[in-house]
Amino acid sequence: MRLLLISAGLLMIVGMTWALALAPDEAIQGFPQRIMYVHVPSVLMTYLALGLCFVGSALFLWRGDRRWDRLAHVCGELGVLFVTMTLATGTIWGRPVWGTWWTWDARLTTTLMLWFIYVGYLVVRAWAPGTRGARAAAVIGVIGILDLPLIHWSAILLRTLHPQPTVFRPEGPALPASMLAPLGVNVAAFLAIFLVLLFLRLRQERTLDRLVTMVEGA
Amino acid sequence: MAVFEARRAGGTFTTLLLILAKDLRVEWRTREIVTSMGLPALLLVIVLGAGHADAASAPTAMWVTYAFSAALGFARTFALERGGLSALRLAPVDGAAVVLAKTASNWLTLLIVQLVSLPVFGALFTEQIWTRVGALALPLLLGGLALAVVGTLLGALIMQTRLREVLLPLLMLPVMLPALIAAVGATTAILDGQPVRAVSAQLQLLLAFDILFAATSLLLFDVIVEE
Amino acid sequence: MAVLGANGSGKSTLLRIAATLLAPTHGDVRIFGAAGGVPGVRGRLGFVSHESLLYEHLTVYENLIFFSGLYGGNGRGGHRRGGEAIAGEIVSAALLGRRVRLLSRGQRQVADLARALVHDPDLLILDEPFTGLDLDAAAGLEQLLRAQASRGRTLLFATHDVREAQALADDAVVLHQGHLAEPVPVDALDETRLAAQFREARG
Repeated sequence: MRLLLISAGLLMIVGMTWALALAPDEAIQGFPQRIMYVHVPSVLMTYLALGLCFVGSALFLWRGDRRWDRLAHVCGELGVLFVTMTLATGTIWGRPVWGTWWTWDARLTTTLMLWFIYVGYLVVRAWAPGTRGARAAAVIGVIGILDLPLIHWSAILLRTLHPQPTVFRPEGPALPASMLAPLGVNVAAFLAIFLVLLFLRLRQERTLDRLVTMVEGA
Repeated sequence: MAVFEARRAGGTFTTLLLILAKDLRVEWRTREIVTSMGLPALLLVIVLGAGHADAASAPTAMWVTYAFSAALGFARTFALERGGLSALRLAPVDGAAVVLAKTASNWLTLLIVQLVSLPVFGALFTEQIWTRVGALALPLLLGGLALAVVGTLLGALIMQTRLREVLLPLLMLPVMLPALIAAVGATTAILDGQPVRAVSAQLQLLLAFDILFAATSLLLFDVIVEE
Repeated sequence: MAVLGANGSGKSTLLRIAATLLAPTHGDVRIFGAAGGVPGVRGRLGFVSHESLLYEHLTVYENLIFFSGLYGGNGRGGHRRGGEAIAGEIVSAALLGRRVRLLSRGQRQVADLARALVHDPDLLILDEPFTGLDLDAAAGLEQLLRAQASRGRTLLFATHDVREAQALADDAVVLHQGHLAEPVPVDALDETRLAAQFREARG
């Protein structure tokens, strides 16, 4: 655990310095482009968190094991955290580069809806405590991901402005190596932080559950 | 003493009709639905129509109205069940029949709201709504079904949560977005004069949406109705 | 059988588990030898809760017909006949045509009882059936329940009042904070015995 914390810290320091000071300037966009080094990792962490939330929710509904529910819960929280960061960094990046804070293209709309759905997830957990609430929230966790392709499809029916993927393409990344490297470091840093938060929160929830069972049993 | 021997319920379809008939009868008696769905719908139409009201703004106005009526109304229809569906769960009935019946009764109620509001939309926004009503039927039905399926699924889920009337719109609308986009798109095109086959993409999306969420409801029905 | 316990001892929970409405968090439940939730089991149970499970805005008759239909009396007018048979026995003709929300508490309990009996269950579970009833209504309900018991139906009810238990039950079991003691015949319930029962339940 401590190892994870230290490596997270180190990675972040290295990653951020590299991103802000050492990495080359992008030809067209200039300085603001550097937000990519925070934006892309946020996006990836969002997928990770929400994917895990889906898995946790589905398995909890199927098996009823509290551990899956804890995973889903914690990942739901992390998901909201990282979606918020994605949206924030995305809009900040968009303003100087596109000239607008927001546009209704496929990616942005999907991300915004995800934010609402997973905030809804957390609200249901808060307002319907106990097993009943956990199962209701799990259904929402599953629905959110199932809805994802449909949201994407419908937004494409509208219009598309978001830059085409430059990193995850079948032909291989289109970014030069000098940018790819710091990006990789930052992704690793974010992943390390994600894991730290995940394990911390899981431990908290496990302890809370144990406490509740002890009190109820008395 | 009871005269029948069978202790198992009749088939799923018979049970479905039975519950559906009961739901509609209860809604008719209370007329609560009029206040919780009909009036907000009417209010919304009028308020939206008071601003810039023409053929361009009609589709959005229509679907916003339907979505909000659904979100507000469905929370109430579940409140009409005593003891949170306990009575239905006690009976040896197929859970799927319960979910289908609830979805059907919610859909029919929404359909009535759609029908009743159509003349008002026509009067305030554009008469094309009346002239093109045949072509509009498909998006209205499929979109209404989408609202009913998602509304029933989520409404049943949060049936015993507090503040469910507030929570249901919050949960429903992000999930509904793709269906609403498709519905508004289709409505816009049709009011513009285009034939139904021009909006087949949107209708396909609506159909896919309906099927996906209907399947999810049926699969998860025992979670939905459980205590 | 009466389940005796103070408020909060878990009587309602126990009864709801018996009625297959709740799933137990640990262990399993066997009713009529089968696991709960099996459709055959539900068809043989009737449940009366302390809140009415009838639809308020329908008449008693409409409620009975509906529930009769749910339990398989459809087709060939079976549910009408079944529902009407029970209705005639328990509910007076005057009450049948009234909307449930216009009934008094005592009348509602009787109507709920009819609802629970419409499919001729072998086991009738009642959660604190005498709560909120005045003396007359309580006496009436007691008479009805005794008549049902003498027909061979098994009654399982929860109460916090020992006298109710003694009036109606053959056996009683004490529930204290979620723990059950051994069942005893109801005549054996008196001050000292009761104290012993509670001690035993506490373990």
